[in-house]
Amino acid sequence: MEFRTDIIVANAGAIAEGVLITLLVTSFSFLVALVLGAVVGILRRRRGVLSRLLGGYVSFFRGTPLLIQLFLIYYGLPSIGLSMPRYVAAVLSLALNSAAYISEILRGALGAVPKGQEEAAQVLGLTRMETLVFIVFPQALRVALPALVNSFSSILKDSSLVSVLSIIELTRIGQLIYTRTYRAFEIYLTVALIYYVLTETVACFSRRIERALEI
Amino acid sequence: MFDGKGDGCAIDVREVTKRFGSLCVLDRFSCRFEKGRTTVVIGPSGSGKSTLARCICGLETYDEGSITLFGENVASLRTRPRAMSRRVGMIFQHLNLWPHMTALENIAFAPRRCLGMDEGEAQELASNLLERVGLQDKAWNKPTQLSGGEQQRVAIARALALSPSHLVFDEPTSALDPELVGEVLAVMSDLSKNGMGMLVITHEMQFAREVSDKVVFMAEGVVQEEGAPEKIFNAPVLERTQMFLQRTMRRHY
Repeated sequence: MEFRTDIIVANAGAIAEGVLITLLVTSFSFLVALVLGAVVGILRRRRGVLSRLLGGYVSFFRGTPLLIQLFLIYYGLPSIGLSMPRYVAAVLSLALNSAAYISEILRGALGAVPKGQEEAAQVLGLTRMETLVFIVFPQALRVALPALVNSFSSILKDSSLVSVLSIIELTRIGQLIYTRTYRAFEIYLTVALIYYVLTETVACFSRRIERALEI
Repeated sequence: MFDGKGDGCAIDVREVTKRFGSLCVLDRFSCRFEKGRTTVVIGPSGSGKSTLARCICGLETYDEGSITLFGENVASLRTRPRAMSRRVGMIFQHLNLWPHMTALENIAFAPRRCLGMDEGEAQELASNLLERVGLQDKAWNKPTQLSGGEQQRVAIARALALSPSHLVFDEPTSALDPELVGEVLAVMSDLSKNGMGMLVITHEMQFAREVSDKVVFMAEGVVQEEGAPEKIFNAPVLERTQMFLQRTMRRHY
């Protein structure tokens, strides 16, 4: 059996476009997840009805498969009058799923900042908001950074699932090339390697930031 | 202008009761802390000393009674206006410097946010305060690069940055290695001599004896005995005070 690199070379342009879409979907989803996760994480620090409701959301999205969440949001929600373009559905699913994890990461990181840090700010007359933004958050982010980068990598890999919504990202491109050439090994190995290089690059970048942030 | 009320009282604690569940930590506690004077509060652990400090500084609410700071009644920090919390500064046992900021930034932060100083002004103020606590060459060090004693001195400078009228110290040297205690006490003595009002919770009896204007012995959430340091240390009235002092002195010397 021969290894047909020419197939990869011939389709390099299409593959590059797939990578771009994958990166765009991942980045948008991560940004939304970060904001959503931060809000949920902060709100869940206090006890109450809202906190319990949000706890239900976190538990549901962590306890069900992402693929089913995608189907539910894209095919299911229109029956109750909520339909949206595939790209929106894809980003929303990935973001809701990831935000559930990120909220827990941030809640843990916020809890890891000693109470005395806030108290020192309080007795100096800083408001709760100032304390959260300038004192607690920067310290929590340091603790959370490795886990957050990990979340980014997870979204990057999970984004291959949105190919089922016919979004022409990296995985979908691979499938399309396969249906024309039937060279599964070359194509999927290439796709896998590209995902690997992307996640490794992110991990490497994060290690560098962590080192820079070390006190 | 600050001291409109005219009497010499900075902090007036009246009949304050604080319960944690069924445990009564402060039991109708009353005590006055004079302006510009140094009062040392001593007592066995669990006697409510820290809770007293935390109630005064608004970190803890209390169930009954009243606390008056410079003639103004305050309940808790949430309802306390910024101007009020600036009047009384607090120094903690566990240092609590912000680790992501340099020594200089730790000091300059509150004046910028609360007094509206610009960066240059705040930094100049911070440098001056660092000099005052003898750490002008450590301005750009992060807290982890400082010894415990140095950190506590930065914490004192940070509290001073808002020009408070009174400082509350909650066991400022208890978390420090013994050889670092002296430098912190020296800064505190200096402040006391320069007329800063201070409420100091401490087990450093030598400091209490030499620096304070008044010593308060508390146990079980109430003042047991109070008076001038010579009186408390040389001629305590209560047997309980004698016992406590004997035990503490034996441990220290």
